[in-house]
Amino acid sequence: MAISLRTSPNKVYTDRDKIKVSYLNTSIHAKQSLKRDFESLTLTSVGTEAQIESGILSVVASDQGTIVFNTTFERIPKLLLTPSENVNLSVTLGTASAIVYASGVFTGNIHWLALNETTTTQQYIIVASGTKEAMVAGGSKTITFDLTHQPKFEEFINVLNITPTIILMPEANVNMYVTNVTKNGFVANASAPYTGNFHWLAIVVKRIT
Amino acid sequence: MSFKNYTKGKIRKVYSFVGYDRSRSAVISVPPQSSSFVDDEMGISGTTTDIITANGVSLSFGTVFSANSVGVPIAFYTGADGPDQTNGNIYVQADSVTQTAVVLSQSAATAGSVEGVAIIIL
Repeated sequence: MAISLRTSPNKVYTDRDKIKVSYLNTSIHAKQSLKRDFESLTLTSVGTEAQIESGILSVVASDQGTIVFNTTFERIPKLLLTPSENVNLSVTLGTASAIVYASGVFTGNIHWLALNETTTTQQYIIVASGTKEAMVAGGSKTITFDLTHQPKFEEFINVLNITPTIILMPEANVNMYVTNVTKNGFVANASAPYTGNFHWLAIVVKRIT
Repeated sequence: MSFKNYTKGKIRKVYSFVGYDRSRSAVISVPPQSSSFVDDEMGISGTTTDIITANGVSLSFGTVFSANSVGVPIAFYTGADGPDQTNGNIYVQADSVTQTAVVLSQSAATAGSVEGVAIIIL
């Protein structure tokens, strides 16, 4: 059967205290809105749960970098990577860290998302969006987040000052890389123009407990 | 199919991951699952396949992303130890994602493993 998750609002207050300092300087409206979001976003699960981390690894004039997970994964995670330059990536992966190798020296970022199942109770705030988009001629497409209808993502980024992690997957034999990541969107790039679609995921993960 | 942008990202359903689990050196399998989704929900399923030696390998999610006309998930896959330069690019065959599976291809028909996740956001 499917594993359903249920909310646990009582535990939200712990998290709200933790991040209180982060949004003291925001508007009253934003504070109230965030309070509501945190109350609605905190989850616990019954049975199977996911252990998730995401981030952006900075690379300076190098062909490799190391991702150190905040918490050791119970099982070797599935690791998804998207670079900010047109390079191939490979990785040596463990439960506590991952060494990422690029096909060439570059300066930029590597967006990463690691996840797997866990048997322990963990709580996260996760704000995400994703869809399938058609690539355009030239192999580069600007994605603009729909902040009008779903403004919470923008608030989350502004208040907590978190840049979203962007993961891309093509439906064609090309490399994909991401540039111009802001709170409003990003640019998805392909190593060569193609006719077809690509999948994108924008995600922010904050572990609570 | 399109997904709503910028939902409050509740993970309301996490499905058992299926396929080869290197941590446990075992193949994990579960019966197909299905469940309804409503607004503000997010579902994740992880999958791994042991060996991919040619293009056009179908990989089951082990989960049926169904009900409420939610369409199909978005899918992200890499080599089993992350991206694998030996195996070349791994990519999703055009329009191959369904509620139950995805068809993967790679730029080089080399033996290797792939894994990844399917995610649906409402």
